[in-house]
Order: sequence, then structure tokens, then C-alpha cells
Amino acid sequence: MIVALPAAGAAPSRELRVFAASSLAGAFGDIAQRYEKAHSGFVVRLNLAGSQQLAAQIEQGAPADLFASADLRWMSYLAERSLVDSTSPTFARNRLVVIVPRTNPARISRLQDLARSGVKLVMGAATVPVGRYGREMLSCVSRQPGFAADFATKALRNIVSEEENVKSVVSKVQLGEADAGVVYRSDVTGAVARYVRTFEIPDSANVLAEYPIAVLRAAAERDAARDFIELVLSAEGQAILEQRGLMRAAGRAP
Amino acid sequence: MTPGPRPTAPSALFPALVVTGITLLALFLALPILALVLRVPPGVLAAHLSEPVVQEALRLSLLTSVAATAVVVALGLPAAYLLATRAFPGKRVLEVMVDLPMVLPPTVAGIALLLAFGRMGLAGRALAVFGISIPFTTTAVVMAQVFMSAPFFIAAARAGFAGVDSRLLEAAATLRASEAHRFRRVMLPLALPSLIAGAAMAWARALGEFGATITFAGNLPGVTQTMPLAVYISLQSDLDAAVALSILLLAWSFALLLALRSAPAFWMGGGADARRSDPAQAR
Amino acid sequence: MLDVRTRLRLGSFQLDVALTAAMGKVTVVVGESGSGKTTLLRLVAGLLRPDQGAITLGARVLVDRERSVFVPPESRPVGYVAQDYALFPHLTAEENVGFGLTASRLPRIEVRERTRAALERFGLGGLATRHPRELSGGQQQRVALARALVLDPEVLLLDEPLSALDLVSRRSVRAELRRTLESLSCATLLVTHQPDEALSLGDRMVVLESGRITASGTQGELAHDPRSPYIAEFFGPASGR
Repeated sequence: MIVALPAAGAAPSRELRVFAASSLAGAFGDIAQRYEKAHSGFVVRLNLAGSQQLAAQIEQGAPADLFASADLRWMSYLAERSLVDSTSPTFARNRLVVIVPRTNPARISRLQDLARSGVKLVMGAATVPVGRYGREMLSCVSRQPGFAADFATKALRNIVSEEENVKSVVSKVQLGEADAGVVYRSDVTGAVARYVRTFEIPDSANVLAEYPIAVLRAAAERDAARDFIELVLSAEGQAILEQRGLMRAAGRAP
Repeated sequence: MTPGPRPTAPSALFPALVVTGITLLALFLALPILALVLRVPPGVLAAHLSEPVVQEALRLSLLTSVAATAVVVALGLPAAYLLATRAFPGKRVLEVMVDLPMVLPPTVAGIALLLAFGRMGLAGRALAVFGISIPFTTTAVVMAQVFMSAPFFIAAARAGFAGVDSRLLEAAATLRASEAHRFRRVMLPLALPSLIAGAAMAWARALGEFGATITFAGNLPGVTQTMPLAVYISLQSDLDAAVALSILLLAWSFALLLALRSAPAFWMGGGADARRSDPAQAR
Repeated sequence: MLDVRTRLRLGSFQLDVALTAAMGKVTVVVGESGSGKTTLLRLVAGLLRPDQGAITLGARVLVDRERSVFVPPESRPVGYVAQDYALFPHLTAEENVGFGLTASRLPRIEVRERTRAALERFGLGGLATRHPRELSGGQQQRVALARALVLDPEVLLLDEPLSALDLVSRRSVRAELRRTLESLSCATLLVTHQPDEALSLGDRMVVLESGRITASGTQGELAHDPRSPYIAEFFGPASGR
């Protein structure tokens, strides 16, 4: 139990530390604001980074109350090491898209072009959820009709940089340095859309990213953390996620 | 008759404070390093070091940092000389520009480099016409390292040049020496310890460069993934590999700095510090 | 003959002089510290530019403000021995002495021969490989002299040549210096504030007070008719009426 520190004249504020995947930046920012309004006396501290990095930090003992990962893998990683309090619900889902700079320097007109030699493709590193999803997606896509069997291999050979988190991929495409990048649909915000063109991936070949969230075993603010999760799973929270380009958790009606 | 004031015993407080301070500092600096070294047993360390990813990163780091240091010294020497010896319009601006990378967050520097030399960048656009594209290449790594480490060399070199007694340079002038001759035979030899120290710092900085590199050059094993990037990446999936890499980087930097600090003493027959305290010195 | 007619303002100090120094003779400039002695030497050496006036050496113009002529120090046939000698600490005595010859791009053999000869002439033969910090004050002074004279300058400038020495060495070094200066064919301009130095080393004297020349002539002339209290005091009881 944390004892609130009395400060002269000011209401004591407690901290809720949330570690969240980069792709949740916009949505969790909004949700954190709602939370603070509803729970005066609490300040939400958001630590955003690639899920793999957050998992490593938590493993090394970084103080955190909540972990929201962009894939089930990194949540399982912590669960295996008994660092997670309970089974974690999936609170959101996401889809991948391919983006290219608005000027389209590599003249990409369809997904097949990603395998063309010389195309500068930027993706997340294999350990980053969006990188893993991206590689899965490319394999799936090459099994679709209209794609050569070696599509995935060729595309992967075009990778010029493996980024640490999805936002770095976005910025490289936005700046026009990369010819193409694989990111989440939710990453194509209004601000980003001005600089990029988006290529949709057929649902049958696309990967469904599942985002779990859990209270951590070493959490200092357990009750507050549970409240936060409740907010995320509530109608209000789900609406915010949707607004920010993510998809609702399965089975949650709007 | 009243006796004069009694001499007080020398205070033991000051030396005690100094010793305590030094001990704490040494512990603070040594403990993390010690923790690093003790974490991985030598056998495991050796195994990791023979992994191709590690070897690639090591090779790339050595190659790029040496190239970067060479560029920094070549470009920095004239700049430092100018700043130390001349006044000219806009000197203050040049001074600030040269110091800027030292205070700039590396990632910001990386973005600045992208905006200048990236495909859509100010200079990058012109280069693209000739088919030259810099981001994502090893050249970009060297450029990022040059950008971040140059100020360290230039500051040290400038102080070295400025520290040369102007009366020696004047004497040289009255002895028929042209400016070039004065530079080669008086300035350079006397400033050499500072130049070497500056080059060592620049090299160490280049070796450890991360933020500007990953932003401007990207991260690809064998092409742009230097040791610091490899450490950062493997940190997320294999802590022991990250530690192994870190130890390697640490050992290399340590040896480098140690060698370069000992060298001037070797060459100058006693070294600047020794000379200053030498009672046999005439003046 | 060296002819100096210049004016220079440095901050609140103004140097305004007109003097000549004959070849083969030693002209001593005496004055207190702050009188402008070193400034005068630096002007002749080319380390300072005058605001007005000219310095000529025979038919050769070293600087002429009005005609925008300025010969840089490395091109002037002027040797300069600074007050604390300014020997290069990282070079040996031999390398110090040969510095100007090397800078003049002479062939290595000639450099070596002339340097060795100069070292012998000044009694520095055994000290060739020593560094300045290993030499005594008197030895350092000889290295500085040799270094300047090996270049056969037409003008030799000496700034308080004995002030860096302890009192014991001063006497013997002074006698030695006198002998050396007497053998030179260049115009020597020597600056000092010590009466005994001025009296024993110089042929002619020029008195500098607050940037201006208050008297010039032989010792006898000056002592006989002291123009200022400083000069009177300089020559002590032997002066004036």
C-alpha cells in the first residue's frame, strides 16, 4: 500500500505506470486523460516503446503496473517468468497496411512491386511485434493467387533497415527515405496520411494483431491498474481505440 | 607578555573529503563495469563472440569508427587551427556550429542529417541526380559518427593550438619560418598531446554512436548495424548476447583510451604532466 | 643603416620615435619598464605594425605606412632575441640553432655545417643534443644568440639579454656578450633598463621615456648634459654639473 505523501496545500497524486506498445500512443494517450479525469489524485505515466523492449525492461525490474503488448508473444514471455498477475484479455486488434511516400519514388502501384529489386523496404526488426507480423503477412500474401511463390523472399531481401518500433518505420516512410514500409493501420493518422499513400492488404492474407493487457505481479497500484483495464475494455475505451484506427476486441459490440 | 597565536594542527578534514570523494566516484564508475564483466562466464562469452552477427557488428564498428576519426582529424585540424589563430567575421557562429553536435540529442542529429542528406533532403536531392543515395548505407554510418564526434576533436585541437606559447611562434617568424613551416615545426609538435587526446575522444565517441546512426543510417546487419546497435537489438531477445557485446565494446574502448593516453608520455620523454612538475626545468 | 621613424598607439600608450642605428655598432635603448622598449623592438622585427611612419634598412624598406608597404618578419633580415629567449622546448640545442636555416629551405648538409660552426663559435659544441630545459641560463642565452646570428642578419635585436640570468652569471655573460657584439657587422639594437649593462655594452645610447626619445648620443655626451631627471639619475653622481 502506498501512503500518499502530504504536500503543502496540494492534493497528493499517485502514479499509475503503464508500459504500452508504440502503436497505442494515440489511443492510450486519450484513455489516460479520461482516467485522470475520473480518478483525481492519479497521474498516468505512459512508457511507449516496442513491446519487446518493454518486456525486457520489465524483466530487468523496471517499475510498472500495467503492460499492454502489441502481440501475445511478449505477454507470454512475461507470463512464463511469473511476472504477470493474471490471464490477460485481448483489448484491441490491428491490421497491417503497406505505406509508401506520397511522392512514391519507387513507383509502387501494387503489393507485388515490393518484390521488385532495388525497392527500399523498411520493417520492424524480427523481435518487434510489427516486424514479426509483417514477415508472417508477407508469407501469407505469397500464397495468394497473383503472387509469385518467392514474393516473400524477394521482398525480405529488399529490407534496408530493421526498426526498433513501428513509429520509426512510419517516420522513415514519411520523410521519403524508405520506398515502402509495413505498419499498423492505426499508424496512418490524419497527420501521417498527408505524407503517405496506403496499400490495403486483402483480409485473407492479412495478419490480425492481438493486443493483450495485464496487471503486473510487481505492480504497486493494483487496484488502479484494474480500473484502467476496465476503462480500456469499456464501451468508452473501445470507442477511443476505434477512433484511433485500431479494431475492437473480438466479441465486444459497439 | 601575551604569547602569539598558537599554530593550529593541520586539518585532516580536507584530505578525508577528497579521499572519500574519489573512492565514491571510483566505485560508481567501476561497479557497473564490474557487474557487466561478472555476468557472463568466459566460456559463454567466447561462444557469443564467435557468432556471425557479433563479428559483423565488430567489423563494421571498427571500420566505420576508424574512417570517421580519420575524416574528423583531416577536416578538424584546419578548422581548429583557424579558430585558434584567426579572427574573422562570423567566427562566433562557426564556433557555435562546431560545438552544436555535442549538445544535440543524437536522434535529433539523425533527423537533421536525414533532412540534409536524405533522398528528399537539401543536399540529398542534388546527390540523387547523380544516382547517389546515402541513407541506409555504411557511408551514412560514417557520416553520423563524424557529425557527432567532430566537436570533441576540434575542441581539444583548438585548445592545444591556442595553448602554444605565441612567443615561440613569433620567434619562429623572426627565424624566416613561413606560416606553414611554423605550423609544421612548432604548432603541431607542441600541440600533439592535445591532438592525440582529442582524436582518442572522437574515436571513442564514434565507436559508441547510436542515436544518429539508427535514425539516419538505419539498422541492417552487415551494412549499418554497428556494435551499439547490435547491443540494443539483442538486448530485447538475448540478454547474454547483449552483455557479451557490451563487454567487447567496453574492453576495446578501455584499451584504446589507455594506449592513447600513455603514448604521448612515451613520445615526449616524460609527458606534459611530468614536465610541469619537474624541478630540474630551467623556467 | 637602420632608420626608424614611427608612431604607434597601443591602448593609452603612444610610441613616437625617430632613431638610427649604425652598422657594426651597438645602439642601446635605455628606459624604464613601460617606456616602450619592447614595443620598439617588435616594430623593427615586424611583429607589430606602426600606425604611421617607416622603417628602412639602407635602401631597403621594411615598412612604410604611407606607401602601404609591409615586409613580414620572416622576410626581414632581422634577428630577434627575446627576453626569455623563446627557445623551442621540443627541439635540441642544435635543432634550435639550425631552425632558421631549415626554414630557409637550405640543403641539409649546409644546414648541418653552418649549425655546427655556430655551436662551436658560441662554445656549445658539447651541448648540441641537450634540450633547453637541460641548459643553464647562460647556455640558453648563447643558443638564442647563435640561433639568430647563424642567419647573418643585418639587424640584431636584443631584449634585456641579461635580465633572465642570476646575478652571479650576469657579469661573466656580459663580458662574453660584449666580445660577441664587438665582432658583429650588423646593426645591433639592444634594450635594457640596467645602467651597468647599457654602459658596458653600448657605443651609442638612446633614452626612451614614456614612448618618446628624450636624448641620444654617446655616453659621454649624455652624462655631461643630462636632459631629464631620469638620465641624471641613470648616470648617478658622474653626471652633469
